[in-house]
Amino acid sequence: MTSVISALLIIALVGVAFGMTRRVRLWRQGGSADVDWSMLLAIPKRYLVDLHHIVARDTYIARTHVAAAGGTILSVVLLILVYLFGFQNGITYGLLWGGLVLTLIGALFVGKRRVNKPERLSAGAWNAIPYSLGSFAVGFLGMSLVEATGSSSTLLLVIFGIVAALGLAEIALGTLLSRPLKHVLSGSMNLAFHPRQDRFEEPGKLSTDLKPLDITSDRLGVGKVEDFAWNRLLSFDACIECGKCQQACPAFAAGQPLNPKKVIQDLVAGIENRSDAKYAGSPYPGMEVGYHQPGKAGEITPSLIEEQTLFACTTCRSCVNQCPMMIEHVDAIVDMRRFVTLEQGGLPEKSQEVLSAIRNTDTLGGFNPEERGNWAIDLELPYAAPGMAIDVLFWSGESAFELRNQKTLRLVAKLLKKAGLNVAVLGAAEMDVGDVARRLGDEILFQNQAERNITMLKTLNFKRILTIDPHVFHALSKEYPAFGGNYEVLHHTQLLNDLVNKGQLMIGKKLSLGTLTYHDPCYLGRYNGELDAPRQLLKRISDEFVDMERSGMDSRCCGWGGGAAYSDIPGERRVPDMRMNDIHEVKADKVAVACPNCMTMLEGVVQTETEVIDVVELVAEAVGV
Amino acid sequence: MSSNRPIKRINRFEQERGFVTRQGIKRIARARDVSLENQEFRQVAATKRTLSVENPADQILVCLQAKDQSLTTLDREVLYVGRALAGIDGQTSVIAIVFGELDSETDLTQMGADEVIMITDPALQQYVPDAQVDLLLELQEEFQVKHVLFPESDFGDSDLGRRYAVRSGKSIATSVFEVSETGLRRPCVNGRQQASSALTEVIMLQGGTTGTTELEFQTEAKAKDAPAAPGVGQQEEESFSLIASDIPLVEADFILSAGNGVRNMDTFHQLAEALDASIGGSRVIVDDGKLPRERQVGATGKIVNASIYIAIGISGAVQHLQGIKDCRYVIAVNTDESCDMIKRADLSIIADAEEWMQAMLGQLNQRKAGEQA
Amino acid sequence: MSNLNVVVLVSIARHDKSGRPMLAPNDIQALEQARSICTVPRIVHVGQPGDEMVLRQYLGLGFPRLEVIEAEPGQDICAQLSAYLKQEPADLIFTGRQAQGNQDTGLLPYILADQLRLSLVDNALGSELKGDQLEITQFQPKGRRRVLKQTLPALITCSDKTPVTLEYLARAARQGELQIIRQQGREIPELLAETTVEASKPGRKRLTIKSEKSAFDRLHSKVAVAGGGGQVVSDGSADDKANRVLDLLIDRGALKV
Repeated sequence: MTSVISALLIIALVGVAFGMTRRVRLWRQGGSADVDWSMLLAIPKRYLVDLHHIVARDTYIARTHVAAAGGTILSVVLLILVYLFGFQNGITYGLLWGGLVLTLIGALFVGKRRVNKPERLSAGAWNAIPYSLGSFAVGFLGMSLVEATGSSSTLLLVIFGIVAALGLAEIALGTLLSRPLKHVLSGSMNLAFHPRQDRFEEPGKLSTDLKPLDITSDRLGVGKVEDFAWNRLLSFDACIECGKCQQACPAFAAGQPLNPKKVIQDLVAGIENRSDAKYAGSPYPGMEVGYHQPGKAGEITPSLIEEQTLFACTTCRSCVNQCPMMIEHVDAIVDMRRFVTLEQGGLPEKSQEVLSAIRNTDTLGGFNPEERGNWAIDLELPYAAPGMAIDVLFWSGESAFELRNQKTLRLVAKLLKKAGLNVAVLGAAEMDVGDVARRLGDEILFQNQAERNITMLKTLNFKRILTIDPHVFHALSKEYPAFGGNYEVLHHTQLLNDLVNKGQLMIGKKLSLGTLTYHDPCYLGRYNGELDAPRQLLKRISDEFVDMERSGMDSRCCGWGGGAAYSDIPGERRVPDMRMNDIHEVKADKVAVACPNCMTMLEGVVQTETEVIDVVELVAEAVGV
Repeated sequence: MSSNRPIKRINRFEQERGFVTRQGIKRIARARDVSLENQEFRQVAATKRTLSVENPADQILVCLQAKDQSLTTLDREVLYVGRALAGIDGQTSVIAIVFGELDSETDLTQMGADEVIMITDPALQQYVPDAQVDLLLELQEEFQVKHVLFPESDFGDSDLGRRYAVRSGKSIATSVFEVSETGLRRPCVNGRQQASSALTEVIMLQGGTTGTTELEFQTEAKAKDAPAAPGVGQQEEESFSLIASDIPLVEADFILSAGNGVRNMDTFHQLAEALDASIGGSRVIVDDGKLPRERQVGATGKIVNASIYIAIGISGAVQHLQGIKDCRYVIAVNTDESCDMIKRADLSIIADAEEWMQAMLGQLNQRKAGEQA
Repeated sequence: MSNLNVVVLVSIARHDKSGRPMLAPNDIQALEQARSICTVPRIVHVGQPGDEMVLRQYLGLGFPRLEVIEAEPGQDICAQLSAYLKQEPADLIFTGRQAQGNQDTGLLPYILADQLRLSLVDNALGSELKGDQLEITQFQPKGRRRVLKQTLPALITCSDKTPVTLEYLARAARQGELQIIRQQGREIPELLAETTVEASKPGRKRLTIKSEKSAFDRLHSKVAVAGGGGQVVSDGSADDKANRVLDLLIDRGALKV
């Protein structure tokens, strides 16, 4: 009996070795990456702390995973100790059987979830997991018990042996055959060599700035899987098809042809140079599975992943926020967009137009850049000039050209004046920050905008920059430092909250506004973690504040970001309409926003009685400005 | 209930859109049920004094292309400008040179022409602009040409005027948007600048250089024989019209547009087909998948430029109104009398969309039956 | 694809709002039409090599080379072009119909065709080579089109309604070559009247024929007021309301019954 188990284990170990070799070879198609090999030692901590921080949001699966994964690993280790190294004593046997029973319990719970599996989970090979783990546990438990009782029944040996072998095959060959359990290897390696190491500085640490592209390089962006660095291929390979990303994705929910899970799985298909036929999860809405594969020379777009899929993404980072394997979907999508936009072509027409507008006018809408300061013309605010000592430099952004958002700008300016701050506006000197260009993949244009703005800002003497636009906020504070622009940047809700807290602005008695809710802008909340300042302001102003189910870090996008409002990829629904439904669900009379783009999108929803207002409008009313 | 709009809107209509029937009579009156004034108007129009020009010292030539045997508002404006530059003192006469045939309703005596040369040679009706220039070069020899006026239009006028200027070596000003006896102005640098100059020999006019095309006198419009057409090589060509549904929205001249108030898209499509109108829709309709994206009218969709735009069940979001700002005549059909579309529309029908569309189809069929009978 | 020698003339436009130099949309349409006849047409620009940033954007539309005939401001572009094209003749020349950033008269194609003794076809939407003839679809307003057959050589001006598929790509802009051509300068022609140029301002004076106010005038203004726009019809049967619109459509020539 022992020899049978030993033989099975040795065969399995050989399988595992082959599997690891194959996966490493597949990852090494990728380009070089600057990695710290000592991070291999950090895997346990990262698994137990950083990853658990995300997985623990779903307690059912967190506990199931502890049982199934913990049980299996314990069992395998003990099987090896007991049957290959001969540590046969009461403790090892006890632990082994305990491990196997734990595995079996885990398998049962995995199976239970699969009976009525949520749509987000993939079927296919994943459906076999409860059976494989179950038979592994039952088979080895049976053999081990038979062996321990000293029986030599051939019948039992054969039965348990076959059952055990079936289960062990999944564990041993999963890595080689690209089956679900490959994630044990790829997932743990991803924890070590994750492309954004700063995410592990503390649990939930945000790392959201797009990384600069070397625009002098011979190949711009990602056109083939080889163009990704190897550790990024590795990270895609870690995907467990849980579909948390799919569930969170606004474009998927709107029936646009995007599913972040399938993007990652398509990239895995690219890594393995095969079609997407094996994929057993939800397709890109409106597109059948089985017709996409890498081009003859390994091209990703459009043969493996179509442009409409890439450009449906709003870069809201809901998927990244949800991913238990800490995969960076948005980075991957933007890298592929860069190739489409800079090298290959296929950018949606309206998005080409907005890029032209930035090139020709430094505005998104093709406005006269000389008129950027006009919104403030009667406010008696100084226009920033070299030599002037400025406390708050007010960056107006694209709102300067839009009637609705000019109102927001003007109210902020009036409040700051009332608080007695030293404020100056930039006016015509300001140029589009390049957020839209960068997210549409035009890194060259973004870098050009960044460098020109940084040069312009160098001539001025200011302490901090204020903006009402979270996209500007993110670009200036998080993405300009890579180009030498380091600024203290404030969002208007932060500065106003600060002024109210310090008593520089006095909120009188509360306003009766009806039910009030707040829509978190992705680039303020999920990108920069600012959830409190706007809520503190709103709660000071209203007693009837309620949060939506999807709020804070889980807020649903309005549909504007990432150039999606320009690309306007057709779907079955519109993203802002869905967000308005969320707002209706809490029966809000008013929804406060903190982003001019959210304002545009939500105000564009027809047939709603709900009023969309910027937080500052309520502050102004409460303060009496 | 009916209401009069402020005068500001009339000006827009009168000056920029100047709608006149082929008899040269204002039809706005009829469309608005002021039949009494209309009758009076006709009588007055019939008693206009006639301007006759004998032995003029020089001439202004106005070159026009007949379009569907008729002339457009722009053509009339160019004739009006010709008349204005010629004056009414008999010193200068206005010669209208028309390529193609005009129907009997197009009355050049109401448009300021002293003499009319109709070029009806079929060989010159095709795209043979160089032969047309040959003919103009021959014709100009008969006159003391002061100015030659052309409309700027894609019907071939823009092409012909430039060819003529280059081949005759005459000075030219194109896309002229302002003209007077003393000079003219035209845009340059993509409309960012304006160039002023003295009047040139060839003047090509955009729409809107005049506030009216109404003359308070009539002219003789004496027919003058056309010279024989110079040798024209038969140009092999064929013409076709896109069917209304294939015409890109931005180009369409007659648009039937559906909004949220249209519940039955089948009726809507039937009506568009019966009227031979191009189809458009509001964002809601397009978002609902009832019409394809390229049919969306509005700031975020297509900016349209139709002579007639019928908005059925469209309440008129700002973006939509931006998309139809260049439309000449807007008809709104809506149940909500207070909606913005009705504020914008030139004619508004307060009715349920489906009922009105059915009535349109019914009445249209009756009229067609009546025609056959 | 033919092995015809196809030339596209491109200019630098000015953005209507910002006034900055940019690609001329109508010239992109000319490139688009040329591309359907010939994969790699010659692209010719007359101007200053200092405009490299914009000129490279033309290359970014996917063309390997652009020939820049050097000229000082004030020199005659037509003469430069015709001298060059007499040396390096083309079978087919595509241009936009009108510049958008200069004099914008739309005369250049005509002067050039005259100087090169070429047939000119205006306002093309697209063309196709049929044997040794070019079959050109010409734009006409209101959804009308005309198909013309044209023997070569010829000069084609392209409609601003031409659908565009060309896309700007930084890679191509970077890789393409600007080829500088120097030839003797030529002075500005006399054809254009002497002009004074100033910044655009809204509004214009409309021309009217001056005379004393007559009875006609008074009535005219009265009718115009009575004919104020925006009438609302809320009473009457559905059929009445339908007939109201049908009458109007017939009056305005939109409907023939």
